[in-house]
Amino acid sequence: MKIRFERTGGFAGISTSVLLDTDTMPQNESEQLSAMCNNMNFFSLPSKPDTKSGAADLFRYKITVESKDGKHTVETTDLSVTPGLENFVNYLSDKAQKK
Amino acid sequence: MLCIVPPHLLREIISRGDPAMKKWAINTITLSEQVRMTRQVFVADKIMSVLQQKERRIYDAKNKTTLPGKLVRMEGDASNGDPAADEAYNGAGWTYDLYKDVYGRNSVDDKGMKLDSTVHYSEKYDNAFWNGNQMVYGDGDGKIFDRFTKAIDVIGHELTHGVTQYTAKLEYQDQSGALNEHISDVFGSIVKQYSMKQNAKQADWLIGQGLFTPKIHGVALRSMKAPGTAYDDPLIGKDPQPGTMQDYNDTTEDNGGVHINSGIPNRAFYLIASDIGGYSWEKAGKIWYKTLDLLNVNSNFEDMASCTLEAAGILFGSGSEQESVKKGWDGVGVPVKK
Ligand SMILES: [Zn+2]
Repeated sequence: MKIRFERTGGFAGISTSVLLDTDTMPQNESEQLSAMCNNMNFFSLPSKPDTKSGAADLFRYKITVESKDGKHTVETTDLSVTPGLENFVNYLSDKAQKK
Repeated sequence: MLCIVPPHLLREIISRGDPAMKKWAINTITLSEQVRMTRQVFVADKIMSVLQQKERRIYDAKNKTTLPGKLVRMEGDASNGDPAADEAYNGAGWTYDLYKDVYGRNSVDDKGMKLDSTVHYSEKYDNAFWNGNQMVYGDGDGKIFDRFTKAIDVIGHELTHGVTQYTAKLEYQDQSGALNEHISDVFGSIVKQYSMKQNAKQADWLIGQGLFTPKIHGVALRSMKAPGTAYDDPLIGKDPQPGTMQDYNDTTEDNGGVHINSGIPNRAFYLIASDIGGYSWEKAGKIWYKTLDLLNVNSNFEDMASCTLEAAGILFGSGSEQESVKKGWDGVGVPVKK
């Protein structure tokens, strides 16, 4: 499974990104990641976020997951992220920061 | 007591007296004017507007993402000892005062809306935003960013997104989005200048000065005076802002580069405020504030240029201010149409 994460926008307008491949990471981490994707039903999440009028400087997150089940991209923001997806976004943001 | 104190003096007490005096004067003025049965509506409006004061509320998200979080400070309360809460409170106060005292605007919606801010949003959160109702500030990750309340212009910037939401309603995409960002940077910088009593020459024209940790090679997030020069660091790259139309960045990221291309109108404002001289909140700021009434949701940079020229004409006639406006937009390569 390959995961591409991009964070754009925000007050500073500084983007970060990270590319993860479960084949090249420790087994326990790769299992944890696969479980996270399954639990939130990533492949059935809506691709585009609801936009809230008037809001500004939100981070915009774009996550693409590619696996044997296919390829799916989800875009979300700080205000439209769901609790399940939020854990995933936090995990990936942390990876992008440590990169 | 009823008819002894003349109404004009009562109004004076309402606007300047301590709370007890105010209450007494309001009761008195209402009664005495009712006795006369004249201009009741006018007086009622006047009293209402006098009663509308700034009302700040600071919340602590305690590193979660549920808004607004726990209420930690209300208007008039003493500090709770948290620097982030203090900065959010004081910065919102300066911003309210600038809009009220200089532009005659009563809060974000011009109807005395409460100013709500949440600090300690999420964990290691490198951002601040306006959610359509309130301001939200992160603590920063500590490696690249310090907490976002540290720069007062960030606070003025976020609150101004609220003002734009209630006025020009600029769509947050491409050029209208870059103008939305630009207007927030303009009044953010003006709030800083106003709080420090700096004129256009003394001001640093930086946005987010002090937000980077000492490890990052950069002075701020943006420079209105010299877009593209605020930072250059191996970890975060180089400040991508253009300062002229020639270098306009046609990107799809960041809602079409709203935080990037805002550098162009930002520099135009710096040029215009510097050319006019003096305190930038006085003339240039008033022109920009008036322009909010003239723009629409889809306005682009050229519309902005012609609207600021029109606003300068409305406020100051066809004089040196309009000349400064023209020169400024010329300086960044945006044509000014009549
Ligand atoms: Zn903004």
